[in-house]
Amino acid sequence: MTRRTLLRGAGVALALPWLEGMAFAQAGKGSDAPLRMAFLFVPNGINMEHWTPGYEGALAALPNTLQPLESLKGQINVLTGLTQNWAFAHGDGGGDHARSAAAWLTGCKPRKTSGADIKVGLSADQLAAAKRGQLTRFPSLEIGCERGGLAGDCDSGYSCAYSNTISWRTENSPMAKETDPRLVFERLFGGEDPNESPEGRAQRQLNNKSILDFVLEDAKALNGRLGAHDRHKMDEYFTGIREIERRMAFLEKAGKETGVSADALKQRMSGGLPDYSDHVKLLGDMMVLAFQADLTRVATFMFANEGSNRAYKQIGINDGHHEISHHGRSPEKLERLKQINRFHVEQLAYILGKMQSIKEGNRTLLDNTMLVYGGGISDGDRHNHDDLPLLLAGRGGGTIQTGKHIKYKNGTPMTNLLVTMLDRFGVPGETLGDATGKVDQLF
Amino acid sequence: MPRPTTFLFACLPLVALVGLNASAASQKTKKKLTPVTKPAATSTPSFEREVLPLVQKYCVGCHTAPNGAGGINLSNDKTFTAALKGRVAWDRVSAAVLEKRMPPADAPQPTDAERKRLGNTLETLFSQADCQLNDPGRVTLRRLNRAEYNNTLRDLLGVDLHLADAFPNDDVGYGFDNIGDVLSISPLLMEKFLSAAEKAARAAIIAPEDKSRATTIPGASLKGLKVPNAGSVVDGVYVLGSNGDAGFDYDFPAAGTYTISVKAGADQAGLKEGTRKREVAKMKVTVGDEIVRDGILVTEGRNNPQTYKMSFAVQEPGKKRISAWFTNDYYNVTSTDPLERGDRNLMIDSITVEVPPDVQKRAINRTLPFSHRKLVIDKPEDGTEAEWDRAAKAVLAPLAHRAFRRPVNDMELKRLIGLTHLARDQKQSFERGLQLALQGVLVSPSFLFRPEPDAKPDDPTFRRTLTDHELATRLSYFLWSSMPDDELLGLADQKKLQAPGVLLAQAKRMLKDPRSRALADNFAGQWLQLRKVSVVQPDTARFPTFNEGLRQAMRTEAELFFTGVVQEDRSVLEFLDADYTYLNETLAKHYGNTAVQGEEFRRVPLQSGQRGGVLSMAAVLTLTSNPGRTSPVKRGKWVLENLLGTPPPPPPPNVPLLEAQKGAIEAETLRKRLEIHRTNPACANCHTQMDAIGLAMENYDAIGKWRADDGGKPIDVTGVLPDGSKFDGPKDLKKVLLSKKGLFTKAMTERLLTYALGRGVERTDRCDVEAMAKTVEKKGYKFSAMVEAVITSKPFRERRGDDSGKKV
Repeated sequence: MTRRTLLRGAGVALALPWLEGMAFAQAGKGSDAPLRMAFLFVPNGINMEHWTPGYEGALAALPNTLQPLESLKGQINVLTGLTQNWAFAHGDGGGDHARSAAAWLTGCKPRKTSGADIKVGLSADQLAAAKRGQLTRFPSLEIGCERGGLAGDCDSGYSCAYSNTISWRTENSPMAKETDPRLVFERLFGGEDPNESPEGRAQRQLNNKSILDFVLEDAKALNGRLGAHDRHKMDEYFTGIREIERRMAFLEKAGKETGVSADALKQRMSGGLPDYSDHVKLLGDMMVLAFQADLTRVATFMFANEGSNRAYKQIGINDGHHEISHHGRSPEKLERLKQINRFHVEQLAYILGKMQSIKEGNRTLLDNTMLVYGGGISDGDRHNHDDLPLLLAGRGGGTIQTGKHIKYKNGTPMTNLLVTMLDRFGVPGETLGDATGKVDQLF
Repeated sequence: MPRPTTFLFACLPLVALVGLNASAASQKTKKKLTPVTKPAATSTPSFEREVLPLVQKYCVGCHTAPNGAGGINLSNDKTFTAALKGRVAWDRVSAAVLEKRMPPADAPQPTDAERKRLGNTLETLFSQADCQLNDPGRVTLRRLNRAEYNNTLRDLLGVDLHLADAFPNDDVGYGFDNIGDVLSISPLLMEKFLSAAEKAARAAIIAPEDKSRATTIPGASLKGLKVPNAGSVVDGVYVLGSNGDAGFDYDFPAAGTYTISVKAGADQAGLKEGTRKREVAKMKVTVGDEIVRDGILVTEGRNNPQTYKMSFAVQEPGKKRISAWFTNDYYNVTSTDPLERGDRNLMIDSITVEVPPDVQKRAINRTLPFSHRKLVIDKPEDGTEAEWDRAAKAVLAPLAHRAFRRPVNDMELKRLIGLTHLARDQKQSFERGLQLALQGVLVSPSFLFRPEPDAKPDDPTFRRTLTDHELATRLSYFLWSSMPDDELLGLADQKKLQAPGVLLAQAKRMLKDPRSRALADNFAGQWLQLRKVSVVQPDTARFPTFNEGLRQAMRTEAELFFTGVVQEDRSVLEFLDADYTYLNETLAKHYGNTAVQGEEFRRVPLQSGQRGGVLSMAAVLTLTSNPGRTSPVKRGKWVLENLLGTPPPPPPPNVPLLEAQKGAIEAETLRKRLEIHRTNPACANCHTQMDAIGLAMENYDAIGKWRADDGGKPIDVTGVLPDGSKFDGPKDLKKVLLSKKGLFTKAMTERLLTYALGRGVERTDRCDVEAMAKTVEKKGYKFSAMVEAVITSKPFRERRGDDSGKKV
């Protein structure tokens, strides 16, 4: 098995930096492949009438919105009834969009503030990254299609960090996401000059280490004269430096990294502004490739920020998504909402299809993944956060039974699902937000 | 900031009360001397009289010891002194009651008057207590945000690389993206800092090891020759929406044949005259006045830019402008023929110049960029380590001084010189060593942050005046979003900046400097939310005249207007209404003015009463609309929030479905629908105000075009505010707003102070804001007076230790 054959499926010639990566492809060894975990987020709620199957158990005819997943329905579960309790107001008034994104993977109550002291909780992906991230070059990957807010509060007095982030490294450190496909690409697969000699690269690494040592000393000297709030900022700085150092050490241990060429992807990125659908697909391809090359095992991907008012002109919808989501039961608006929902699911189908096409031993990459797709708002007009629209795709390394509509008792914490996934992922015994236990019927 | 603002608008008399206290820091002593002159004292509301009975009646039923609902226990504090100690809980009471979040719906409800009495009394009492505290507050360590990082590198190194454009967005707090508490550093950002430092160091200082003969200027760094530009930078690419150029000045080191490559794509539209064939976008490339090549066909789309390579013989060395021009702009939205309809634009990704090999060899020194010559002011004269260190120190001492915006100590210098040794040990050049030291400087917390280190950082009673250097830094990042220049830094070095005359003279100088344009981009762009103009997506099927050119013109108008007020030191009330604006042909047409011709912007007097001030600018009207229609609610909210500083509280939770309100969907007009909406008492309170203001602006459509009717339906633009002010249309509305100029001035002062400090304006600042707004009023509302008020204020000039032990 040559490296080339390993990667032919992806249409790129990506040189894997370490040998462990090769093992996944060997016949009969699929069980050695690592588990991956991903969370794909869509905002503003869903037209649930066309989302929820009218029956429980084995998936048969799919509702309109889910039809793009027809060929993949054996690989997914539709989960209904799960709830993000802390996305509800609990006396904090408006701001359901911000709260729903902030609570989605944390199960915690976001503090209502537009400035100082943002606080929600550690998110499931970051819990996984903290425990298992040292095994890969990037502990986790955070991507999305929309940058942060440009001006003003994002939602009724909630900081933009809540609406634009689903991943929280600590209760007050949101993980910034990368939105430019070119920059994601550069970070994951490029950034290194392919013409640089190994000696040159080694020298540069050495220089960077000295530079980091230099600034660390600076930072320590400063730290003693800073107050508690300032020191929190410096902690983030130290964490950033440590993360870079860890990665450097990781690369060294992993051995020489040869030049990277992901031409197929690169080609598609030439030029400026991709169309939205290209944007989602490009980022999705990169996430899949990063999983395949075991650059990371944990990813979060926001198709759009919560409350996004994007107009989906490519499918003939010229009004803003958020505006439409406040449908007031208007049949036209509900129809357009359904179209947007379905359009998003089409992008999901593309990504899942890619994962399904990648063989890892006798399984596929999708088999070795647990991917949650959905959002923290059910009906965009009512802003309710129970009976959330959620899909769980992938078989978690062959341990999850797929192809079902599982109806949980409405009000079951969504965090129970997250804790169950973490347990599968090799991070057992964790509690998260308002979790009360694990979910059943998946195994 | 819902809390202070609700209070500001809802209860005007309070403003006066707080004002009295603001001017009397030494109130206690004065009181004894002149008790008669303070009749207000007799009507001073008291905790025991106004607050306690209502709290007993409506709150303590649930919020009682030991486990009060929501962790709030209100049953123990029977005096104001006790309440001050339990401040955290009480702070939440006033906001919850004023915003009607408490008591819960199933509990007995106080009347509106009772709510105001309870909430406002608490606010006033606390505010008075705060004035006596006389607290400068504390700004959390601020890191450079993206705009500041770009500007600082530009001013520090002389290279305008826009590296921060690739950083993740800065989070926004209190409406701005320069708030210390919110500016976090994710691991991703740290990575970007490290790689940006390397790129910047290699661009600014040229080492012989860096052999490349080519200089590539990214689209983001190009500039248009025309003022205003025919294009603008969108996602790192220079987009030419109309005929014009994008270029840069290049210093040709010697005569010779240079290679110029332009990477470009285009939005294709329109047909060749008299045919059914597509006419593609055309580009011209010039050096100085000479045409390198004309009629270049840019055949590909914006997503697939191609590189167009050409050579050019330079006779005379020296600085010349290299430009790529868009020459066949096309725009047609009216044609019924889909092939004729469309918008042709040219996108310049980058321009690259390659020096001929012989020139490169011959004149290596002359090819050094300006930044290199400015920074590398010394070189070792022999190969000894001592000489290397001497020269390194000569270069790095002034560089680090400027980069850290403060004096640099010997230890720091020694360690920086140590970094240059990485190159020396590898037998690499001195310049390579400098690059490495510069990288260290650019990743150091002293550069990335703006530290104001304290001797007793965690002692809130420890209070001090800023040092001259801290003051210089606050001032330059306030007015320029960039580092202090040599003059300002020099004054700080000499410890002369604290003198009021000096500080004010510097501020005036800096406001006139072109760098104060940063205030338009970063302050006005966020205060008035103008940044949103670049992402609005009006429905072009409904508004066919909207295109990239109009979008740019909208933003340019607002920016020029703001910059004009700043640089000409005009009255801030002109933001509410003015008898002039800035137009080019595109925007003038949009405003129904046919007299303005040509795409250059110019100041135009206004007469019709349809325009004037920010409120009637297309930019603001568009960003407060939905893609397909106007939104009176958004417009009303925008006015309350940004001009009057009284944002409505967020909508109550569990707003009932609109369908529950019979007839809302079928209602014929927006006004009617909003009326039905207001029949719900939960909505009525706030919407009465918002809707009235927004509906008065219905004469402007969703892209800010004037209209007499809405698709044939008549428009009713009359309205009444809760305080009784009546108006009929936008012109009247502006008069009403002008009558509230006190509120406006205070709101704007508060926004400006927030921006200048990089922290939220707290209760402890209220006395200061009040006094500042008064000063502005006294000085005829001049913009410089507001800046002066900010930079001489206590919160700007002083700081204290962190009180986080006391905060939640």
